[in-house]
Amino acid sequence: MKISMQAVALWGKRAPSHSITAIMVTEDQQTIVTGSQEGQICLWNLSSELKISSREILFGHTASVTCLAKARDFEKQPYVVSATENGEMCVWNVTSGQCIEKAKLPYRHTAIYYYHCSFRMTGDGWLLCCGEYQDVLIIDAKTLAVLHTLISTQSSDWINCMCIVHSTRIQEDSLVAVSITGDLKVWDLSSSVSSIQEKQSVYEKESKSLDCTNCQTIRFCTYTERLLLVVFSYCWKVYDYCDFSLLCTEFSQRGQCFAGGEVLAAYRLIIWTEDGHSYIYQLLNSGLSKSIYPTDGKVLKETVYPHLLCSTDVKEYKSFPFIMGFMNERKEPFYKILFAGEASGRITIWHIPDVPVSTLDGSPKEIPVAAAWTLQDSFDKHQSMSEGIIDHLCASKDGTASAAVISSVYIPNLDKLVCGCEDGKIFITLALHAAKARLLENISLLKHTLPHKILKGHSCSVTCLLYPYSKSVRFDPSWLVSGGQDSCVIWWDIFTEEILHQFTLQAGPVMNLLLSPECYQLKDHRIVCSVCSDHSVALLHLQERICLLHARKHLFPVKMIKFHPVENLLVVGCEDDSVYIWEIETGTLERHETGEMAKAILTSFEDSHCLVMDSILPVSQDSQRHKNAAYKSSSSYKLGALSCNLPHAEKSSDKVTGTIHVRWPFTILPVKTNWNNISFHVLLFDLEKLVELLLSSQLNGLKSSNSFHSYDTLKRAKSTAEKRTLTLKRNKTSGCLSPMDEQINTIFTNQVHRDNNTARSLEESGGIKRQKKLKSSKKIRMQPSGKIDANITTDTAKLLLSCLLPWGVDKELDNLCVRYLDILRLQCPVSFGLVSNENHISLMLPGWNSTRGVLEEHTLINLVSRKVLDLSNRYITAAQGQIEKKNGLENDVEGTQISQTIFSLLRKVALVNTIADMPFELTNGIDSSQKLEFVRNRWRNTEAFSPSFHSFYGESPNYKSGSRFPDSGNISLVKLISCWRDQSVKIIETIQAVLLAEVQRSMKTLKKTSVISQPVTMIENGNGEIHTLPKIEQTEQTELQYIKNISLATPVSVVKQDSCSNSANFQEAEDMPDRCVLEESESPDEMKSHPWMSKVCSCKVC
Amino acid sequence: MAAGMASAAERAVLEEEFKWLLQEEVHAVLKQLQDILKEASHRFALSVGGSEAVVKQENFMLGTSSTDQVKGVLTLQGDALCQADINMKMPRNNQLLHFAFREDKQWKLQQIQDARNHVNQAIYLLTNRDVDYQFKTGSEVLKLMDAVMLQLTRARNRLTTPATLTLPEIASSGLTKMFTPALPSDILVNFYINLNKLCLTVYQLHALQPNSTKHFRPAGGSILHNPGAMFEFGSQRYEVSHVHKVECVVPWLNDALVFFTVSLQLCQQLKDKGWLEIPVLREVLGPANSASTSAPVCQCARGGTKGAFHQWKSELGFTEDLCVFWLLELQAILVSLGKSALNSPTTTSLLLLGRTP
Repeated sequence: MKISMQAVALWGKRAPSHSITAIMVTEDQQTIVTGSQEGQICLWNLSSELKISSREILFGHTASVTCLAKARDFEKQPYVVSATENGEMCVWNVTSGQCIEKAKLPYRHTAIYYYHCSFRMTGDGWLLCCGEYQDVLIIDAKTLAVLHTLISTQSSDWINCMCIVHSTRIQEDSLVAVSITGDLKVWDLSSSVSSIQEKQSVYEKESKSLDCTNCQTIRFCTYTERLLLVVFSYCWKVYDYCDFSLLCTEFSQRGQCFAGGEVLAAYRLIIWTEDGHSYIYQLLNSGLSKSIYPTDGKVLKETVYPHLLCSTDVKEYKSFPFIMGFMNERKEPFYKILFAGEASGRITIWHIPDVPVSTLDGSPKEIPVAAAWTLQDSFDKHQSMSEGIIDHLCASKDGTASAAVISSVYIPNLDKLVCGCEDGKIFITLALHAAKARLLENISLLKHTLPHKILKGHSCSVTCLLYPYSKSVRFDPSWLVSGGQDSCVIWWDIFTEEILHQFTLQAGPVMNLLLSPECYQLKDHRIVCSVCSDHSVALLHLQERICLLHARKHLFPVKMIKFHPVENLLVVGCEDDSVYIWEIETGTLERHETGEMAKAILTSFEDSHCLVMDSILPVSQDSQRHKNAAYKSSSSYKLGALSCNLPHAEKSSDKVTGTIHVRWPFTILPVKTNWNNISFHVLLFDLEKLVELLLSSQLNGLKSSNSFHSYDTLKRAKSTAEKRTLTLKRNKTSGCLSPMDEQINTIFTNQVHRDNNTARSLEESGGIKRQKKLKSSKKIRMQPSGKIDANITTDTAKLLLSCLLPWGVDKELDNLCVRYLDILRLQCPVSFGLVSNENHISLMLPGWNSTRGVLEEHTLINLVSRKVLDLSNRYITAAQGQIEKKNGLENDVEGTQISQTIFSLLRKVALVNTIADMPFELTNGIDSSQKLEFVRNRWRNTEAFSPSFHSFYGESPNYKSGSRFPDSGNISLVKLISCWRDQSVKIIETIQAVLLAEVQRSMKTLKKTSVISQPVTMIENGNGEIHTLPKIEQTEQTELQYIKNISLATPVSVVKQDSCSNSANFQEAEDMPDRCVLEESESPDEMKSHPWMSKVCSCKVC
Repeated sequence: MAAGMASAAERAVLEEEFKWLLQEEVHAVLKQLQDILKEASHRFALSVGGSEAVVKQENFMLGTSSTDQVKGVLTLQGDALCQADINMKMPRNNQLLHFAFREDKQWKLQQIQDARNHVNQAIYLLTNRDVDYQFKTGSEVLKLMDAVMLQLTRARNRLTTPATLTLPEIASSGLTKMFTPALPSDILVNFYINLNKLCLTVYQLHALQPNSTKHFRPAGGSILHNPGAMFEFGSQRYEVSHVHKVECVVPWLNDALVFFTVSLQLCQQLKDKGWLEIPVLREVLGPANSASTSAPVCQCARGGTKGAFHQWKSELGFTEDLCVFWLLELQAILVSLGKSALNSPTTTSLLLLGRTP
């Protein structure tokens, strides 16, 4: 399932923690790649002046990254492979941040080398891997499937390190490896390619014990093609590759551990340590014997000894361990770079001179640090970009620096964002507004009027939040549960802002809040399950305001909580694989099991789907739960088991969350990072959904309303809902008529929208019914789920356009956009995200744009790269011919409203996204016409939701003219875009380029026409008459006609009314009685002529 | 919020305490941990650096009871079975079968090798954080503990969860070719470690006729297959007719497992010392903003820091019912360790622990 999501990250003041565990520099020396203990991968720009700046962060792994390596011939494809502690492997495109391939194997790798033998191998080459398993694995670089193993016959053990020896002299590629027990092994590579492909056993050619353990690195000197450098943790040695005789040994100073080394040049080495030192040695011949072919190893041994030339050190505060590497490039524009990453997240690089020399008096010379950088440095430098989503709310209060957001939850059906802060306050605000206030320029006014509430109750930071209604409709929609570091769990009413109850647990900070499953015994109970930092689990009964059970005896962090509904038991699985079974009623520990028994108990409970949560607990991984769901089996992974299957429950949970996200065109995803507990937010725009919603509002001739709807949604919702129930009742008895007003169209928006999602809404209606039951006893406090405000849709679209537009390219154009598109300038560059699939997302970091010159930075605000301008020009030239052809149609666009322009722009964006997102395989082999057909089909699939819509297309000239895709004229553009894609132009660059070009075009025309006259609406109704009406006065009429059209043409829409009768638009519904009633009043003739319609009405609503 | 306003003096005390925790307490626990792990590593009798120091050979008798159809003498040398002597009474004709390892062959027990490697990795992680090393932040300690615990959990899991193999995998493993006289084609042998036990399973097979009416369903992977399990190997179908499983406790594996459990708990307790509160105060906020951390929480954190040993004891007392098993085991080990071991701080503390209940 590919989702066309456009993501925008809103960071906080504090950077997410990034403890570097792996580091590499790409071959073009433009990118530093680091892997972290938190599981994220960071991409850093390395400028030609050796300046570092953060660029992107890649989410996707659920465990600590163990190694990074290139995964292709870098010049052709900039791919890097990463491997983690729990066996995940990912291939990333480091220029775009896209996840190309992913796999999960039951192996933990510690080193990976890419090997490709062009004249013997087909395909993309191999990844030679070693790690916590015997011998060497060969993994296909493309599919990440295990191809074969290299076996050793003697003392087979884990391989610590290895290197590929490629020498023109020897005419054979070999793999030299050192095992954990210090045995050096050599496998032939190039000559065994065929036998590996035929799956024959490949044994080592040579095996020799080096009498030393903890080997860190092995390197072959390609300059002399003879020396072999082996670095152990307490010494390093040089061997002769011809006969593996020892040439020299150098021991470390006390307390120092060597971590690696590299050959700088012939007889010149660099060795580095775990604490961040490095030493450059010259190997000197003593002159006794310079014979290349020594007869006796011992003679030669005396001829080589190391002489220290230079050293490097990190002066400032250090954090162990340093992960270092060296990049040796002999070609001119490149440098010799020594680089180091620390657990604190700092990257340090040194520029090693081509010919390192010692000082004049012979003592070693210190090489200065060329650059050092951390994520936090980037965040500090680009403060405007790293401002959090609600920072301005906190700041405006007392002028002091704002408290960091620790936890947050997004309530999609209310479009509310709830943020728990470090100082104990909980902010509730309108999500879209907050995002706009944060991103857009010149709306200080909006900032001040941004409606928000502050819940005060916790005395220190709010560690977790739970909005129970979004998980289960059993709960009241006004409830919010929060847990704090003060060990309190507070139950709130978010509408009245009161504390309903405060539970004091006295068990350390609350780490997690969960819901009890829906099972018989607990059905009527509203139970929240809280996990505290002392590993205790408390069951809190909300309505009775009591703590049912506080299970306190767990020695290890809680990994799993399950309920046994029949016997009323609570089953707690801990991280040490032990299981505790608690009796809920008596609160006694009934059983404690470890080992096999524990496993058996947990698996036996797997069937009863009472799975409450999985391994994702505070410290383990960030809470991108829906993203990581597919990986969640990680913790249950055992080395012994060769196969790893995902439990079904997890899959289903993934699906559930998936649908939640699909339904809303705009979502805020709170992400919590490890260790420093900082959360940031990702705005997700669902392009297809957005286009679809806009389309429906277009069809109804909905005029775009202004972008600020600054009413208090909640109160409104409450009151409207109450009224609605009243009107509903009234309708049932009397069926009274109410005057129609102009708000109908919004209702219809919903209606049509519901048509589009027949399947979905059917699902929903089930939920709504249940909800109804629940509400029958209570007041309806809010609108039910599943409806989307048209204003929100337009606002979302505008916000998205603001984010995507490259502002500052052309001042005039900017002004035109602001004036005619009614969108606002950005206040700072936006951190875009790229969603590769459900589990993998890359987000730009503050400072992604800092590679450009200072001058440009001031003028250009949001340009992804220079390339965009070039691309956009190319697009314009490509589109030139087409414009003329389309001229007649263009007129329509010119004449229509702002919203339509926005709509067509967004459609273009969505289209570009679709094309650019298509997998390579689908387009590579087939010719362009097929390609187009595919695109078109795909597009149709996403567009054509129900047959009723299809029939409607024909009657809707607006639709045809504005944005029907792809017309024959568009083919060249599609070709162009897919061609860009093949040239690995980033998706975001493509989108920006197209958008820029399109905006330029439409703005030019707009400028012309708008001067002449007031905007007019060209509407062609079903009867083929053309009305050209002054927009403002006549809208009502046109809308009316549309409504009639719809009610005639699309039976489904009316049927659907029932399922959405609950879901009236809460802002307009206040003045609006039931829409069925309305229809009867307005179009009685039609009703009579369609008996099915009255039937539907009478049986369900009337 | 009133409670959240820590005074300057209180802050100073907290800072002081945190420093003490980082500089003294952590090292004390790490030392303990290192000692325990070294002890565990010794159990695996690794010959360091391949210096050909002869690793002690141990003989284990399997199937000592008279009812056992299979009896064996296995010689374990480190992670390898260097000799195996298996006697088997065929149930049908009471015929006695005997086979042994060939002289030139030995069988690596992968589980032991992996467990040993994991422990050594854990020790290596700890070695360069000796007393001289200064921890600067709490998260540094947490990260180290996580890394160590990961290795220890893996080491333990390696011993507690034998590989689940399918019958064709067993049949095709090199093990069948190691015996002299060669194993009859209707017998399969498998060795593995389960917790502290060295296990030997012998499967007796009978070949299924190609025209057999029996419904053929190949068995999946399992630690121990039951009679009736079927599989196909080399285009011939077999069914397991008898399964003989004999096992024997390897005392040092038992020790190692106990050491793993103890050190895992030590790690977890170090992790639980309220690092999360204090780093917020130190690392991120800086002096100006720290007032938000409330006194009660700091109190809580402080409670965790004072006298780790005290806390350890009290917590063990608290979980007494859960720990009885390994406490008893501990005492047994201490007895077996003798005098020299009693002098080391680890074992003394372990001894103390053992006596508390």
